[in-house]
Formats: sequence, structure tokens, C-alpha cells
Amino acid sequence: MSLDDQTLSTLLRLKRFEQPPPGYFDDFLREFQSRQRKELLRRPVWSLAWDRLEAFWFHTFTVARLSYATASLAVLCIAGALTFNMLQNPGSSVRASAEILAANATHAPVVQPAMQVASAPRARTINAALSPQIRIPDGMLDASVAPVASGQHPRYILDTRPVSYEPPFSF
Amino acid sequence: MTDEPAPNEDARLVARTQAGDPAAFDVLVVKYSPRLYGLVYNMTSNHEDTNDLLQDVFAKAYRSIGGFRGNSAFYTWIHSIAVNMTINFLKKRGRRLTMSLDDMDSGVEHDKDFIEMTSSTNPVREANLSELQIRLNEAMMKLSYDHRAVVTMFDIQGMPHAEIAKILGVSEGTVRSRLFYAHRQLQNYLEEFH
Repeated sequence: MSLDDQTLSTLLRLKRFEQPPPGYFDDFLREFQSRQRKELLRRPVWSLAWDRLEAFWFHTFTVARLSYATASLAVLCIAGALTFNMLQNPGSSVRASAEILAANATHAPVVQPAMQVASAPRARTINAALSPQIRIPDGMLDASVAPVASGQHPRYILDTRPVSYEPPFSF
Repeated sequence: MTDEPAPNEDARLVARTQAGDPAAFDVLVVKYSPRLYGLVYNMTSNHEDTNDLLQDVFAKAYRSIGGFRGNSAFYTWIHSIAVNMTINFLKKRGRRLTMSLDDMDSGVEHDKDFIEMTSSTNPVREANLSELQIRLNEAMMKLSYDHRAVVTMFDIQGMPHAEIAKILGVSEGTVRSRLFYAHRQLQNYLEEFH
């Protein structure tokens, strides 16, 4: 027997009656919802943690969230302004330091090698008294340190009072 | 079986689902599960596989519905998902046949095709309709997945060529060509039986 197209189509149409057991579609939706809930629990831990954090953050601390957002924005603005300034004047502070050093170099004192260890103002005062040929520029000495006249005894200033001057507090 | 659902109603349900109303998607599940069951079942020939696949189809649709822009009808979209997932499943599973005419719904006795086929004047009656149906199912399983999908949608579910073309993403000419080739193959398999 050969099957013509019409017979074949009729046989195929009968297949639409192949149905699942009774009540299947009633349970299908329940099973779908149950699987969805299980799938939610199978989500990665970080995803669940993020959801909870998000819920906590966005639904609990609305005012605090706005404050933090404003503060963060302000910090970003300040950082941006500073960065912009630095980009506009690159190395300005370095250049200023270099200019000061160059100016000092033009008025540099002629110091004998043996005296170069004296760098602090007080030490320079003492050494100047011992060795009069040292020339120190005027600007390098502050007003409180007066030049020592020849023949005069050097005057030493102590930073602290001697211990014996302290009043005895112990009985 | 060609009663297509109203697209406006589907669009409203899709919009509600996209807005975060899962109950709207439940309505879509109830609405489309019988039709999609027929599609998947006639391609897999196994109830348990069909059930699992159908669950996965709706789960995937629910996850992806946020990206559904309504360029096609929801009906077309969900059928595309079902066909693609079923074909992928069949490729992994390989060949297995577990279909039986015992699964037939009792409503078949009232169907005019069934009455005609079992009438005393029809030669098919002599050839034992039940066995012929089993052979037809076996023949269906010998078709390629693409051909099986076309036969299922056109001959069993009664969908028009244009709709099948949209679902499969091919031209109507391709659908007709696949149908012609599949019918020839089925006829050859059934002639061998006789």
C-alpha cells in the first residue's frame, strides 16, 4: 500500500491527540514556580549577598545614602580641581625651589674647607669668633646673633637652665 | 489548532512581566504550555523529556523577557525558544524512541480524521491503524531535526508556512521544500513497512 499525501497528512494530524496524563497542565505551573524558587536558592553567594546589601542600603538608609553620595561627589570635585591645577602648572613648586637655590649660590660665602662643617647659625657664631677671616653674608645671619667684637670674650647662651637651678619638689 | 492568541493581550502580559509582575508570566505559561507541549513532545517522543524541556523553555523565556522588544509576537518568540532548545537537546541526546499510541487523548474518537481513517471503506483500517501510527512515529524519529520540526508545526499543529518561517528564521520557500522532502521520506519509510 502506498500512502498518498492526503492519508499521510491525516495520520499526522491524529498525532495532536497524543496528550500528557490528565491533570498534567494543572501541575505544570506549580512545578514551574517551585523550580524558579529553587533556582533562586542556587544563585551564587555573591549575588545573594549583593541583593541583600542593595535592599539594606537602598531601603533603609535613604537619607544617609544621599549624604554619602554628596560627600563622595564633593571629594571627587576637589580631587578633580587639584588635578586640573597641577596639570595647568606642572612643576611650579620645583621651579620656585630651583630659583631660590640659584639666588643663594650667587651670594655664596667663601668658606675655608675646615669650617664647612659649621652650618647651624649658633655654630657659625662661635666659629666666627675663633676664626675672623670667615665672611658670612648679611642675610644669612639673623638679628638676634650679633657679631663678636675682637678682644671681647665670647658669650655663650645655654638653651636650658642648669639642673641645680631647678626648685626641689621632692621632700 | 490554528487559533493564534491575540497579540495585544500577550503584549500587555509581557509588559506587566517586564514591569516585575510574575503573575502575568504565569498567565502566559498557562496559555502556551499545551501548545508548546505538543511541539516538544512530537519532536522528542518522550513525556519526561518534554516536561523537563518545557520547564527549561519557560524558565529561559522568563529570564530573557527583559530583552524582548516586541519585534515579533510573543507567540513566535516562545516557539523559537522551544524549537531551538529542543533541537539542541536532541543533538545531545541522540536517537531514542519511547512513543506509544496509548498516550492518545480520548478525544481522538470524536475527531473526523480518526473516524474517516477507521471507517470500513478506508484501506488504512485493514492495515491496523494503531500499528501504522507507531510506524509513523518511528519514521518521524528518522527525520532530521529540522524536518521533524517543520512536520510537527505544519502537519500536526496546523501552523501556516509564514509563521513557521518566522519561528525558524528561514524563508517560506525553505519551509515548503523541507515539508516536501520530509513527506517523501515518511512515505518511503511507511511503504517499507507495508
